[in-house]
Amino acid sequence: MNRFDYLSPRNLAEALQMLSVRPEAIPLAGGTDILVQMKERSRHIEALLSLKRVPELHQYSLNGTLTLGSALTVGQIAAKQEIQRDYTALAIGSGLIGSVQIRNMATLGGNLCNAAPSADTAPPLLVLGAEVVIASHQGERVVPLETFFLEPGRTILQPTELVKEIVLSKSHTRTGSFYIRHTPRAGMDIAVVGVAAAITLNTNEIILNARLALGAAAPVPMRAVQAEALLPGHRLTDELLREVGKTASQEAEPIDDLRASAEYRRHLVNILTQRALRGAMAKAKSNQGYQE
Amino acid sequence: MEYKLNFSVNKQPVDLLVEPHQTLLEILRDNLFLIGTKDGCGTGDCGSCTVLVDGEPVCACLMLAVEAEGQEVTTVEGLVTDSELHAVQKALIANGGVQCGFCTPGVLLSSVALLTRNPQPSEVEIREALAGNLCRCTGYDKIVRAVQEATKELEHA
Amino acid sequence: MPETRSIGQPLPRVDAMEKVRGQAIFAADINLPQTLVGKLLTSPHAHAEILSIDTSKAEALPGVRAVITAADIPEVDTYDPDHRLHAFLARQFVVFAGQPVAAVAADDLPTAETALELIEVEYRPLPVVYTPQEAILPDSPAVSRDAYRDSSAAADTTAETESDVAKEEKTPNIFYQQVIKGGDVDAAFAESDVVVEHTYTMPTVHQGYVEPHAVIAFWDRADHVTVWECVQGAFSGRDFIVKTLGITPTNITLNSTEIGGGFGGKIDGLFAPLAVLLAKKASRPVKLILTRREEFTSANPAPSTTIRLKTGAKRDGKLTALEGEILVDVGAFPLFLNASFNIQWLMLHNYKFQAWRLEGQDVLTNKASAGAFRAPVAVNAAFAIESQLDEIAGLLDLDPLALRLQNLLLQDDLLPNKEAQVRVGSKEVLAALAEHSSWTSAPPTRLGDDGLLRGRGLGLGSWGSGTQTASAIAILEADGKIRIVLGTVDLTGSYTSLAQIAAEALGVSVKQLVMTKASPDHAPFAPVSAGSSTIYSMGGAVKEAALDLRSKILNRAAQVLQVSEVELALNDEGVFVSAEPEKSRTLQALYEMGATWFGEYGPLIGLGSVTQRKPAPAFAGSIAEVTVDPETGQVTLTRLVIAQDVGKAINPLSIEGQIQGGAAQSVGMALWEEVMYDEQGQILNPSLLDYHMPTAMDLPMVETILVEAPGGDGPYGAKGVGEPPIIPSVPAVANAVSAAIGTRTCDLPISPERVWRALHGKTTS
Ligand code: FES
Ligand code: FES
Repeated sequence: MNRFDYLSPRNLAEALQMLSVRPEAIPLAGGTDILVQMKERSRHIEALLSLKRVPELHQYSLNGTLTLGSALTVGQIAAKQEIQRDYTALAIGSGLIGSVQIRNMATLGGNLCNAAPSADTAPPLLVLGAEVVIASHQGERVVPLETFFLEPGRTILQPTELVKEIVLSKSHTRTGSFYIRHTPRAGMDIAVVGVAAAITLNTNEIILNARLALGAAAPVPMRAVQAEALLPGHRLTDELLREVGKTASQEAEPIDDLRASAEYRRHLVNILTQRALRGAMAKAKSNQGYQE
Repeated sequence: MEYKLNFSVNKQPVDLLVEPHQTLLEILRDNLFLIGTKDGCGTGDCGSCTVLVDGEPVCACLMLAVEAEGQEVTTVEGLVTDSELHAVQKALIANGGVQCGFCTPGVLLSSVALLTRNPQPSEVEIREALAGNLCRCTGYDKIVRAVQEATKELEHA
Repeated sequence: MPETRSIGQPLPRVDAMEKVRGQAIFAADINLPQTLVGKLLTSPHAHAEILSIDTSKAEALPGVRAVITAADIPEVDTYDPDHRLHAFLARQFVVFAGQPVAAVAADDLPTAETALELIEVEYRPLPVVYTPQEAILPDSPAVSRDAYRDSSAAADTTAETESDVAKEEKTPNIFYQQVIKGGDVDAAFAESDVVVEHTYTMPTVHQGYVEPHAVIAFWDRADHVTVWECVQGAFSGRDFIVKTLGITPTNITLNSTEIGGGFGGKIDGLFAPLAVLLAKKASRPVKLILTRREEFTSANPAPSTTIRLKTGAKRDGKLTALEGEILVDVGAFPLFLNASFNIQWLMLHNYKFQAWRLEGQDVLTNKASAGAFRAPVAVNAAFAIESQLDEIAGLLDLDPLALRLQNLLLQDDLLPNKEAQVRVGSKEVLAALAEHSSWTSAPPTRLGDDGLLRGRGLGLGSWGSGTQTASAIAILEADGKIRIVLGTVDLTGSYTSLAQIAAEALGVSVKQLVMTKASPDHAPFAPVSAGSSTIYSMGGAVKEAALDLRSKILNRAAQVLQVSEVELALNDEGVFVSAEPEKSRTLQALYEMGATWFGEYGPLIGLGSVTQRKPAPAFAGSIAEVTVDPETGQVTLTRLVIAQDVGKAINPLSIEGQIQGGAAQSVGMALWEEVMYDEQGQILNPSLLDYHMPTAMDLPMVETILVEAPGGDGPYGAKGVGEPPIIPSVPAVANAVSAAIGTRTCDLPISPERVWRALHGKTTS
């Protein structure tokens, strides 16, 4: 690692102020990616802005909407019972990242800001309709997560901006979500493909609403909108599942890399889409959701 | 520029000057001479640097020392109380869960943290808790058995 | 002989206490005052000529204490340009990406890293030879200027061999080539009822020791250097420095530290000369620790192989002919052994054939130079041949275990070199598996209610016990304990087993033994801990030293007690007359007699020095059960059983552990492990995140069966234990997968994508 300046703000205003003065400073959250890049000297960094002592970024509130401070660790998120129940996909995705040790360090904001196509929290947050609250010394803006990722490793964040929090709308009755990914190794691995699904049912188990999102299936985590569109107004039959899986796999834009070929990834999107939907369905049936 | 760092290591208060680029692992090993914590990869992938920070296992290789300000760090050297080994330490010895011993400190801290939060783990839960601790010598069989045995011992204690 | 008290006891390791307390000292744990950080500058090119290196900017950086390049290597007459060990720094050419071209020593890590960036190297890139298939073509560019080697030397000289490739057609990249043949292959195939033929590939894999290479060097006198190093042999490590730097052995103190796994990857140390040169130039201690990335790019992984194999059999299962071509990619330098020959040898030593013809080639490419990995290339051999036997059993509808039993090459059967096979335990290993519940239960139904495919598979493999010379000293100590002084490295728990051997030989309990590891300054010669030879060879030396001391103790006591030796007995308390136990001397008293002014008797010491021991090939067999998700191709290992002939289990606890660890590595090779290269010879996955060794979540418990078959002349019947367990689980898992999916995957690792392709008849991308 090269030598760098360490900025350690005590609150959000101070953090944003520091960032406005030193826009080259890189926010340090869990450090599980940035430190690796610095150690391998693939990234030269002038200054790190530590988010560890910025209380606003560690907030957690479930008050109709769910607000997750960007510096919460994915381990903290995976362990919350209400997230497991009402935002299941997010709990699953957060609980699959790295190892126990990594999950105790890696943060939700870090997982998103790295903009890895395979980020395990991204597809769940996409199907849960997450909004990203972005702050700078000039104020805040709120964007849907769909518009947040630009390309592998790049987001819409400006150098002076930070992700403050992620906001998820209220979870409704008979809504369920699920996330499933494929990795060769059971422990400590990176998604070859990950698929999240969220479903809302009416009392007759007809799908009112459905969302699908794919990880590691395109340059950035993406919604599978064409596949989703096939679902509302129907029951989840095997035939429909196959149709949706196929459509999702056609929508995906995977690449060949060392982990898998594009062809296999496309196939996995098909299979995992069906499995994620089944998982979301089971959750939706059992889920009484947030009590109003 | 150096920063003053106040934290506690194995229940002892420590204050020292550190440079921002120094990792917690480097400070533990090179400044405090707590050599029980190992460096097997430096990139968070092997778990030999596992220590507990406020009771939770983390990779000391990926934590800047300055970030440990005010926190409680436990290393393998802190597991022995009144010269009594921790139940997991005893069980690892008795069950042959130690071979080369390089992964052992990290395995111990992950196991101790697991048993603290979940005193009755299943085999699957033990394996999940240890997934971040690579061991190339044992095939994990005897490590998992040792944790199972320690569970029983702690239950009786 | 006293009754057995120590042999066969499942004792915990003698060093376990330090290890669970974090007190065991590994090389990186040593802190000398004023130690500098050493770092390597490695080549970004897989093949290039170094036109110039300018280190002046790096040297000018404050805090930099030394920069070395090939220009700093002293001239030695032992220099061998063909040898990997002499390539610790590139001279005129770099031949693999990751080869060190310079090294620095600096006050701290950031300074050292900055210094590396300031070194200016001008390279002229040369064509990269990427695959062995390309390397053997007559017009292939040369991997290295010096690559041509004569192949005729190290062959199985008594076998019928031929050299049917005209020398002039050969490219310099083939450095070893050999055909082993016997009988009439064409006729044997013609008589066969079934013939199977496939090409099996196994990629480069890495030993994956969790502790990276680490070495500290300190010139404590003008002409004397002390080195602390994690290395599998103190003598081999010292010898490496002698040969590369021309320092005389007694001017080197080599302290081998605790070692965090080696598995063949740390036989010589590889990087010690760099630390020694840096320390000399800086006049300060230098600590050099490899990064994990460098472990992949710059150390010595295992070679990759392509094996085309054809096997014939009669309807009753009798094997007829074996024919094939073995191509071994060893990377940029020749391997320490002729890998393809080893594969030929291993393929022909387990089963009987009427006729065989195996062509082998060891080939250079511009990749990290390969080294040993636990039972070097035995896995590659077993994967091919055991897959074929399984397939033949399937085609003939025979029990695969019975088919193997029927064809075993056993004692007195002739080996390809016309020598008679020694006593081996292959039959006992198979018999133990045949009785095991995993085999006696009905094979799993292929398709379960859960939609998963299921399969069970068997594999067998063997390794010849290492035969090395060894020595040790046994000393009667002041407190009546027995100190064993030895120079061997405890790689696998051997000190515990050696203490048990010594205790048994002496007739005392293990707690009377003190095992003292000594550097070559203080210990007599000990072989490198490799090739499953430590207990076999060192155990022999320790036993002999202990017996020697015992007889000297008894002799002394007989003199003192004025009885004959046969009347005496020895235990932890001392020596006593069997018929009159009150007539005795404590061991402490006997020590004191030899350690006193004007003493009548000299101190009591025992010596052990043993030569080449008889070969004792050891077999291991494995049964694996898997489930396969037909939609994703995901393989899950649900059960693993391994039986191994250990001759005599000196310490069943430690042997079980070693077997389980070997089996885990084997499963890793079967399902996940692969060092991937691009066409420019660059490693694509140089991290433990992307190089997939099994985690605790990836493996089941490993059921072990210790088989004790006679053979060899190891101490108390022990055979080599370390290598065999890595062999049979690769074919067992492969065969289980093939039973589950109904077709064969001949490429390792058996990744989900490959399984999916095999299941859906897709060709490999
Ligand atoms: S050294 Fe920290 S995880 Fe490997
Ligand atoms: S005991 Fe060697 S790595 Fe675990």
